[in-house]
Parts: sequence; structure tokens; C-alpha cells
Amino acid sequence: MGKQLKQKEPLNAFAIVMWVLGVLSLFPFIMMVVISFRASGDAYKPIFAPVSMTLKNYKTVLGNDNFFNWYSNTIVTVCVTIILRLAVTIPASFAFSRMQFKGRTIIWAILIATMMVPGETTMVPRYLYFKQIHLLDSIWVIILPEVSEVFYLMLLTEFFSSVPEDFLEAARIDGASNLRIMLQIFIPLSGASIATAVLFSFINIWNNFIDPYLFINTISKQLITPALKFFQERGGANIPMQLAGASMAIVPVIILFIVTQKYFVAGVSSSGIKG
Amino acid sequence: MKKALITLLLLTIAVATVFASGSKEAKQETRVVTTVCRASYVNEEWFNSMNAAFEAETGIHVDVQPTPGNDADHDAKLNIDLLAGSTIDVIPSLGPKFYYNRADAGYFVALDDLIASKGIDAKEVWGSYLPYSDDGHYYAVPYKQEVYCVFYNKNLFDRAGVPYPEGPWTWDEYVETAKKVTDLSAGIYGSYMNIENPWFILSAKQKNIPLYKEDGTCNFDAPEFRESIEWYKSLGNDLKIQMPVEEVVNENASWNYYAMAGDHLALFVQGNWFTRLLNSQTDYPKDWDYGVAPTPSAGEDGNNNFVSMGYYSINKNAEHPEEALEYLIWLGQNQWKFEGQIPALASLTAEEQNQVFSAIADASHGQVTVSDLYENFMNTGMGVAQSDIIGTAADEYNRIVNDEVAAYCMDLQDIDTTISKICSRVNEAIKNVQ
Amino acid sequence: MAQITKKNEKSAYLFILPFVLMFVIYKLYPMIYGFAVSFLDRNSTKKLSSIDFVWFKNYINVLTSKTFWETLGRSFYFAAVYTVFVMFFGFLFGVLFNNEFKGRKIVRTMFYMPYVTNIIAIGIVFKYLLNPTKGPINAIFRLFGQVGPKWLSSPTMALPTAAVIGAWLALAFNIITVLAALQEIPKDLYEVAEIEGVSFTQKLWYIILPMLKPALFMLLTITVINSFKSYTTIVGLTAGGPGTSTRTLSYQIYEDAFTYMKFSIASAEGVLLTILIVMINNALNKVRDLWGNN
Repeated sequence: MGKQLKQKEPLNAFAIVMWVLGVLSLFPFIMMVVISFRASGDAYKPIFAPVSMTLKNYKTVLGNDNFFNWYSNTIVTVCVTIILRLAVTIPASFAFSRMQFKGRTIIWAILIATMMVPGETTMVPRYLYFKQIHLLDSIWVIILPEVSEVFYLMLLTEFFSSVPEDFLEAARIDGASNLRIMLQIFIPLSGASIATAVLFSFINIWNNFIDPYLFINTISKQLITPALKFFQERGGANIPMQLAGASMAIVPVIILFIVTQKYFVAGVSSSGIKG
Repeated sequence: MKKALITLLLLTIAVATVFASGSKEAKQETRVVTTVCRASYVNEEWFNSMNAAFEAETGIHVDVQPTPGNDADHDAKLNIDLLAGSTIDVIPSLGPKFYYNRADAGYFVALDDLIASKGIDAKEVWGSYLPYSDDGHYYAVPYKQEVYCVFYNKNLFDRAGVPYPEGPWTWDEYVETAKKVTDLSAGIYGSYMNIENPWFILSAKQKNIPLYKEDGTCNFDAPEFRESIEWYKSLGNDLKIQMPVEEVVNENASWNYYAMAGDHLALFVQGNWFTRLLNSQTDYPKDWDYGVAPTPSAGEDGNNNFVSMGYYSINKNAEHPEEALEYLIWLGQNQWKFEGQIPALASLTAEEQNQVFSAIADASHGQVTVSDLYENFMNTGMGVAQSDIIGTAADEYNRIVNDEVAAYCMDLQDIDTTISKICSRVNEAIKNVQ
Repeated sequence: MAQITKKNEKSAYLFILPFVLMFVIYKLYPMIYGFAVSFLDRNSTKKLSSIDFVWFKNYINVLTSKTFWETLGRSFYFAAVYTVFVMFFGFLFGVLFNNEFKGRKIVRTMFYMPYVTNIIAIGIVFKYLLNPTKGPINAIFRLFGQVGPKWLSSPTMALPTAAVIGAWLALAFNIITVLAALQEIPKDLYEVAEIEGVSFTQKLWYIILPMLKPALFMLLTITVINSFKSYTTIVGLTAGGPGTSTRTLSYQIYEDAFTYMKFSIASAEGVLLTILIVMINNALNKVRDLWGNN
């Protein structure tokens, strides 16, 4: 009765349909890259038309005085945020998942509840508040608030909760302090979920448009995603150049994603959503 | 794997921080003044040679901050930045509506004494162009004035065998001319107008119909406004001398659209500043010649042309107030030469008058002559009409009119609904500001 | 034992301190501040630091203005299209990807890719693709002698189109979750179904859906909450146009704050938006509890 448990993956009509859909899903990206190599006037010519390719758009984009600044600002912002975020969230997650303390439920409930408050609601107060504390116009205005993002607390806490208690028991019996347990047992164990948190952090901060657009004024301090708007200069009519800018902005994230996708999938799966 | 990742991150930060801080050190020695500009200026030759000339003359380096996005984005972002306490020294305001909003908000420094302290008699230089606020001070220096006019594509007129338009003329004559040149089968439209104020309400504004009633509420229900809007819509939808609003919206481009695509538009009503683009073969190459004609009049009581001004002010939070003052004064007297625009100076010598227009005429390589420009820009015999909406809740008023009239032109609502919506929304906005 | 617990507690507080501190300073305080600002009179640049309490005046202004209800309606419309699209296709593709086929992993990556990009960059591409007169999509329509719809430039179609594009970007999260949940279904259940000769639809209804209920409800909650956060999507695609047809509440909040400088009004609108989201969340929870007890 035993059916073959692992069938050879069939290449049937179903597969073909899925492939077509997959390529369709990639279609915007493909177009983005293809059109970015055309001159402005040729932007709308049919996709297979024999149009001469040009690197001019990329030259303009990359040659922009501030292009390197934008990239490095974004990379610095992302890296610093990730490090600070992990430094602050890991102990907190450990505490929420493995330690007992008064008020644990209430604090947790408040934190989770705040996830329902959309960014639009806090846009105005954040602007006024950051202005008051002179935080505007520097990458710290992005970094500091992002450090305590509750989503990642939730993610890591869920994962830590799933580590079997036996690991802890042994260490506690030996009299190890919580700090040691966390550092020497938990962190090594949670490589995967930390990697996931890192990946998601990277994606979300890199792609964040409205916060840097609003809060950062000086062009040389701007991050890459809002800076895309600079390539709208020529009356919005030079589409290929805008697309060249757009590709430069999203290529790093895509590469990172392709290389680390298993963490991406793992992160979503293990986030406890499944119930 | 994790350790490697962390080390890599740390390395990247270290490297990036070094680079990021590196660029700051170069500018410590020279005197600097900062200013902000539209993203498109950065690539235009006149702008860069202007700032180079200033630096050559005074030794002060101009550090330019472009704002992201198009023109609407520029003003919005500039307002946000000013609100956030930006320390940019010299702030441009193109158009009274932006200027007065910002001046009222208290962003600028009063210039009366500052300019006098430099030994300059501002009244002598800029005369009645100085924008006085209600408190008796002025907070900006005008660097150019803009008049509206009609540009036309000579090639398209030749093609249709129609003589070039000449002023003085009326809107009816404008429409007639446009009809003669329109050839829809070849994709040629006789006329083009922007989809916003004041184009929506040209004749009403030329007749100087007030936008606010005596009691401060919205006066948009005056019949002249209704007439203007209906007329505007008919150009595209009925008379078909103009691209219907819907199609233009699809193009998703902004004001310099027809500098790039003007080869199928015969007449366009625009500000004289547009010559800057029409003259620039390198930035906006085109294969047709342009000519200028005056703005048509809206009849006897509407024989007024739109005049707008460009201003420069000094930010209250300016980082380099000294240099800002020098730059401001210099710009107020010299930018017109580089940009090829009409200065806002109280008196121009005959030579300067000639210079104003010969700069433009020369740059056009024969497309227009000095007398063309003089006759059609300055010597039109027309009075003055205000192109912007100024007053209580002006920003919203402007936006509401733009929104509702655009919807009307796209056949989403009829004229009565449009007018009543405008009135009610504007009144609401006015009430909320009290 | 008691000693250890106390020490435990103190160190627990130390462990959560950095997070909670940062949270209170940079996230909680702005929320409270925003709530407070909505009761003030900060509706122009002159009144930027005003501490005049006008209590509910801003809320009344907002709730009695026709524009607010229009933008709210648009937010609901956007949310509805977005949610239906994400839930339906998320589930569909989750189920489809559960089957083996050649190159499955690669195709999956293709589907996940939109999730990691940002709407601003992708918005440029879509504006290009959907250009009604010149874009490639409508060129296909022309091939068949039809006139393509005006997509983002059509006052009636712009909002749903924007919602679908926004949904397409968010799909991956749902697909992955559904897939993961599907893989948790014990294989025996399937085997029993095979033996009983159960049809696919019956499998769906009696095995898959019940087992996935918790996951689907969580997804629904998250999706609905996200569907009201439409600001960036609108900015990237239509900037509120054409006319006012894509001006959702999210976008209106931004406009009121940063174009018209009416900060208190914008705060009030923000608070109302939050209340709305909370109400919807509660409603969904009630529905889940009701159904869960079936």
C-alpha cells in the first residue's frame, strides 16, 4: 500500500501554469531593468523593439553627487538599528518568555496593543516631538524609534518560548545567572530567529519612505528610498532614469533576500501566527 | 555564520562612517551660504554659472540643497523643512502665495534695516516691487517678475498656413486661431493650458473678480467664475482645440511637459519664464521655433495680464546670516541676467531694458527678437491681475478649486455641483482657520 | 526558593528595561502626545506651540466635515479590495504551492520577491506599465482591438488598482503562513481522505479550512490592520489623484498635517483611525471566538 512518499517532481500543466504566474509576478521587475537601459524618448516603445541600450541613466544616477551618501547613510542606519535593536530586544524577549515578574502580562498586553496604532496617527506627534528634542535631520531620528519596535519583540519571544525548558533547568540547577543562561545558551540556539529578525529589519528599514522623507531635510543625510524622488526632476517625463534610480534602490534588498530566503520563510512560519 | 555577519556589519559601519564624515571636512575654510532649489535647477547651466559668478565675485561658495520630487513637492517639502527649523540661509519663494504664507508664519527676517546697513536704498533699487507685509516691513527681495503670455509653435502655424497670432487680441480670437491650427488626425492640438489655477479661471481673474466676499467667505459662486470654468472645459471637450483634461492627467507630467512634447501643441498660455526652457536646446532639445504673443484679454473690463513675482528671503534660523544677506542682495539684482528673466527693479536704464530682452532673444537664436519680447511682455497696454489666490486658507482654497474643477472637466460632476462643493469646502476651510 | 525568585524578578526588570525605556521615550510618548495634541488648537504654523485646550472641537470639526466621511469611505473601499485580494490569493497560492512540482522553490521565490521591495520604487514601474495611452499593458488591449481601461488615471479605477498593487506587495506573508500551516496538517488526515475517496473540495472544506482557521484569522487581523495603512501606497502611485479619488484617510492625515499645517486636526483624524482599527480588531476577535466554538 505504501505510496511512494517522495515522487519525482512532475513537470505537468500545473507546473507550467505556476511558472507562467511566477514570471508574471516578476514582470514588473523585468520591465524595470529593461526599460532603465533605454533613452528617455524610447521608453514606451514595445518591449521587444530593437532599441539601443544606453548606460546614460545609470551614469546619471550613480554620478549624482549624493548618491554615495544616500547609500552609505542607509547602510549605516540599517546596521546600527539592527545592532541596537538586537541588543535591546533579546534580553527583553528572554525576560518575557522565560522569566516571571510582576506586571508581565500587563506590560506585554500594552506593548502588543500599540501595534494597532498606525504610523499615520503618530506622524504628527512624532514630527513635533522630534523637532522639540532636536532629533530631526539626522539618521538617529530613524534609528532610535525603530530600536524598540514591538513586532520583533513578539517574534523573538515566540521563538524563545518554544525552546524546551530542560535546557534552562540544567543551567539553573548549576546556579547560572540569567544573564549567563541567555548569553551562553539561548543566543547560540536562536541563530535562525535572530537571522530572521535581522533580515526583516533590513527590509523594513531600507524600504521605509515616509519617515526619512519627513524627518530628514538635508539632502546629503537622506536615505536611499526617499532620495528616489530626486530622479523625478525632468517633469516626470524621464521614465528610464527614474527606473534606473529605482533599481539601484531595491537591488541590494533583493540580493539579500535571495541569499537568505530560508530565514525569511522560517521567520514568518515560526512567528507563532499559525496558532 | 553569525559571527561573520556581525563582523561584516561592524566593518561596514566603520567604513561608512569614515566616508560620511570625510566629506564634511573639506568645507571648513571657505565662506559658505546655503540655499534650496528645485531638483530640476541643479542640472541647468544658467543656475550653475550664476552661483559660480557669485563665488568668483565675493569668494562665498553657494551650497545648494535640491528638494526631491517635482515643483509641488518642492514647495511642500520646503514648508515642512522650514517648520522643522531648517537652517538653510536663503529661501526662494516663487509666487506671492508661497511667499506670503511663509512670511506670515514668521520664517523670515525683516530686511529693511539689514539692507540699509549695507548702504543700499532698497526703495531705489526695487521700488514698489518690495513685498510689504501688514506690519510695514518687507521680508523678501524680488529677483524677477513674471508675466503671462502666449507662446506659439511657428512650425505648426506654417504647416496650417495660418498667419502668426499678434496682439492685442481676445479669447474669442484665440479660440478661432486655435481652431484653424488644430488637426486632430495628425495629433495636433491648437491650445494647451495647465490644469490648475489660474488657467481654470482666466477671464474671471483678469476681470479681477474677488475670490472672497466682503464678509470673508468664498465668492466662488460669482457668475464669472462659472463662465470661466465652463469655457475652460469646452476647449478640450467641445471645441476640441485642446487635449481633454483626462488625457493630460494620463501623461502624468508637469509644467515642462510641452517643452519636451510641444511639437504637437500650437498655442500655450504660460509665464514668460518658460523662455528659459524654450531657449535651452541642450536641456530641452526641440525641432520647432517658437514665437510670442500677448495674453488675450477677457474683454474691456478684463484687459489685464497676470503678473507674478519671485522672491528671496533670509531664514530666521539661518546659519550664515552675513553671507545670506550678501547673496540675497546680489541675487535680487543679478539673477535675471543669468536666468534670462525680467527683473523686478524699480528703474531700468534703456540699456538694461534692452539687455533683459536681448539676453532672451539671443538665447533663442533668432526665434524671437527683442522687440517681439518687449511688445508682448511689457508693452501690452494691459493692466495687472493677480494669478495666485491669496487670503484666508489660500492653500486650501487653491487646492479645492483645482480638485473640483479637474473633476468637473473629467465629467465626474456637473457645474452646479462643482461650484457648490467649492463654496462649501472653502467656507469650511475658512471657518476652521479662525 | 523565594530568594531566587526575587533575584529573578529584579533581573527580569533589568532585562526589559532598555526595551521598555526606548519604547516609552520614542514610541509611547509620541502616541500620548498625539492624543493630547488632538485636544489642542495647533492648526496653523503660528499656533505651533499653543497649549490652548479646545477639547473636542477638532473632533467635531472632523466628524462633521463631509470630506472626512468621503475619505473614510475610500479607506474602507481600499481596505476591502486589499483584504479580499490578499486573503484569497494568499490562501490560493499557499494551497497551490503545497503541491510538488518542478522548480517549485524557484517559483516561490518569484512570488515572494515583491514583498521585499518598496512601493515607491515599484510604483514608478506600475505607473509606467499602466499608462493608459502608451503603456505596455494597454498595448495588449489594443492588440485585440479594445481600449484598455485607464487604471491609475481613472477616477473610478484608481483606488481599486492601487489597492490591488498594494495587496500584491503584501502577498508573500500570507502565502508563507498558509503554506507553513498546511504543512502542519498531519499526513494521516490526508491518507484517511484518500482511502475514503474524498473529493478535493471536500478535503478543502472538512480538513484544510478547519485546521487553518487559527492561522487564517490571525492573517485576517493583520491584513485588515495593514489595509488601513494606505499612505505610502497612495503616495507611490497616485498622490491622492486623479482629483480626490484616491484620497484615503491615511493620505488625508498627511495632507492636513504637512500641506495645510493643521496639526491638531490631523492628530484627531489619526486618533479616530486608531479607534477604527481597534474596533475592527475587536469585532474580528469576537467573530473568531464565535466560530472557534463551533
